[in-house]
Amino acid sequence: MARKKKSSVFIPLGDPTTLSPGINSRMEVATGFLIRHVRINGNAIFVERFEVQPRQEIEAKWYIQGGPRASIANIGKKWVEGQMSFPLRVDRSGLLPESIRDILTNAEYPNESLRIDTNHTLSYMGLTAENGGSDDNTLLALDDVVVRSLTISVAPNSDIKVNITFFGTIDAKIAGNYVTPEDTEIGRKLNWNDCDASRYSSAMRTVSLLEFSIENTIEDAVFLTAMGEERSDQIKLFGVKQCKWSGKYEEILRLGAETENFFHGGWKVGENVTFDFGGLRFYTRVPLFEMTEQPLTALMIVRKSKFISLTSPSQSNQQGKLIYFPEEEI
Amino acid sequence: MPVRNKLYGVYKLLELGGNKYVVESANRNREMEAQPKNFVQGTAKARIMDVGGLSETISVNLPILVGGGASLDGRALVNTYVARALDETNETLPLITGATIKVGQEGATVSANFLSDGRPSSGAFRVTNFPIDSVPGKPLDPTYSDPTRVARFYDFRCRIGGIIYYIMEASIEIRVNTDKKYFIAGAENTWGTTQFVATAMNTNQNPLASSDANNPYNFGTQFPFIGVTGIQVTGSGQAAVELSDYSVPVDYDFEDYGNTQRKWEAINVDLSSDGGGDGNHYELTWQRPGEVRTAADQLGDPTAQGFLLEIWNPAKQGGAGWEALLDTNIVDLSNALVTKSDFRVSVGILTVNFGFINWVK
Repeated sequence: MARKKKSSVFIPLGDPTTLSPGINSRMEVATGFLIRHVRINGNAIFVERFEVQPRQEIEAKWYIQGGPRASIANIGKKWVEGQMSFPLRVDRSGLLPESIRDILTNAEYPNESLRIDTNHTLSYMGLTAENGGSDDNTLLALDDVVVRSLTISVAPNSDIKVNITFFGTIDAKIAGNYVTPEDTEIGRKLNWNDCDASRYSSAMRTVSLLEFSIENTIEDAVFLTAMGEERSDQIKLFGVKQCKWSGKYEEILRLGAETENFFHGGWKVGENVTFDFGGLRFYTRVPLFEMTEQPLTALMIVRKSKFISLTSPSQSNQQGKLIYFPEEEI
Repeated sequence: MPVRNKLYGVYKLLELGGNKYVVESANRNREMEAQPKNFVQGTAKARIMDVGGLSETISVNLPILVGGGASLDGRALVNTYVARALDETNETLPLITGATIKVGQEGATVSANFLSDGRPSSGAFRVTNFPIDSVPGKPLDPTYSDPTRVARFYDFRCRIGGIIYYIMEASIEIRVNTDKKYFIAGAENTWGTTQFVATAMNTNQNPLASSDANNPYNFGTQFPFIGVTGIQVTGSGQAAVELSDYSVPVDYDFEDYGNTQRKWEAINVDLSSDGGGDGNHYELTWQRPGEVRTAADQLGDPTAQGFLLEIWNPAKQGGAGWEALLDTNIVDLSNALVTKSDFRVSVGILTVNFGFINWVK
């Protein structure tokens, strides 16, 4: 069958399939020797898992078209999304590294972008629809992402775990800051022994699990190409519509433990809840409790309480602050 | 045998008036007027029927495609059939009566409605199993023609008066006004003698009769005569609204022109009381006594086009580039009035729904 050689959007390879893959001319940047490392706003962070990368809607569509085989592509918007998990870690002076502080601050105030640099996240800024395949990738900074959700949790005999999801886009084609190993101060992971919890009406001495979550509801938008602008398949903007802060804790029941801890739901004005994770505290002024769960088992009886933090809606209002670092007073 | 692929439309190819298209769905509807008539007839039962004419309507939904398949898409259909509707001398069925082209985040769709006379021999609507690779140019073969993809948001650009940025969707609605008549057909053979007919009307038989038994010009058929009486083009769309307080000190409203930033505090909605320095409120195309003002006039640049909806054509003659979605040789829509600005405030993205109507040249 004759093959059309000249095309504006389809540039065939010279002799496809006859050459073995992996020859030097097709080698991609940074695929041979990975130094796995991540930076947040230029500062290193030690992670257990990192999966933040560009995503794109790519599928095929079928029509009344003369047969069932996929013939028509459907290539949609491109964005950045993924998750990261890391232990909470402090340096020798007991302070959290800047990278973790930036993430926590962004989760609380998701109105400014974070920049993420990695050694392994390849990106393509052009239109995928007009340059498909594996060519022309670059190691770009993920320069416009925010924290979509954050969960920090700890239980007896475990480290403090932080799980985060990110959402965003690549706003400018900025070369990634190649992350090399660096001199990092000796630190240590925080664990259950570094934690504390209390509320106005209880010292919470029988707590067996602490967890706090931040969920930022994000809506993205794409627009038709504006007159005079370059075409792009990246999402044009995104915004945070809702911020929800919530916590949960579990308490072991024993004789003599506080019986008034069984919340029947609703807000408790005048109450407060403080979760202290060693290097930072989550402070809730007005908790809105769900009904407490207290299942009966043959094992130890554990009471589960969940609450949502009610606060001032304005992000600029310090009265509504959630996260406090050691140098800050509640 | 339980495998019966013949039941599925994906194997078929649609032809309208002899042209093939890739469609998402299509309907053909034939109806015949009939109702019982009651007279002073001695019974309430329906004993007499009043049987009228036939009508046939067709509706199709198609994508707009980029690449080889673009020759079979909704844009090709609209351009072909609007041109046919405006052709006084070469009438071909089906006749387009309306089309909506909607461009948005998910891509572009074309919904088109047609009218035909219900005559089976017209070939207005045909479902075929014509081999797709036998279509000239093999448009859906990605190894022969350009690979085909659905046109998405980055393939379109739009301008509605002063609205250029943050356009989320835009629609063009074409309405072709038609009229349907039934005539008492003339005789198919010589009727009367020529001495009673003036020379200028020197005919004595049906000039349009044919051997086709279903020809509506023949005596004794139920098929209508269809004609085009007008065409109008309107449109609508949705754009995001951005509000920024640039006033120093901040005044908590979005009604001003920020002199420092040199731009309006409100983008895509006009919240000012005076229209700024030139007094031009750009939401609607307001008229002035003794003047006809287009959306372009309102922009302060009469040479600018008030309405523009373009698609990126990678195979454009002379190199890839933007071109009008509707062929400007068929309908030139450069003059428009903006007629609606519906500002909506919700917890999500602030939006304005706009509407416009075009002069059609």
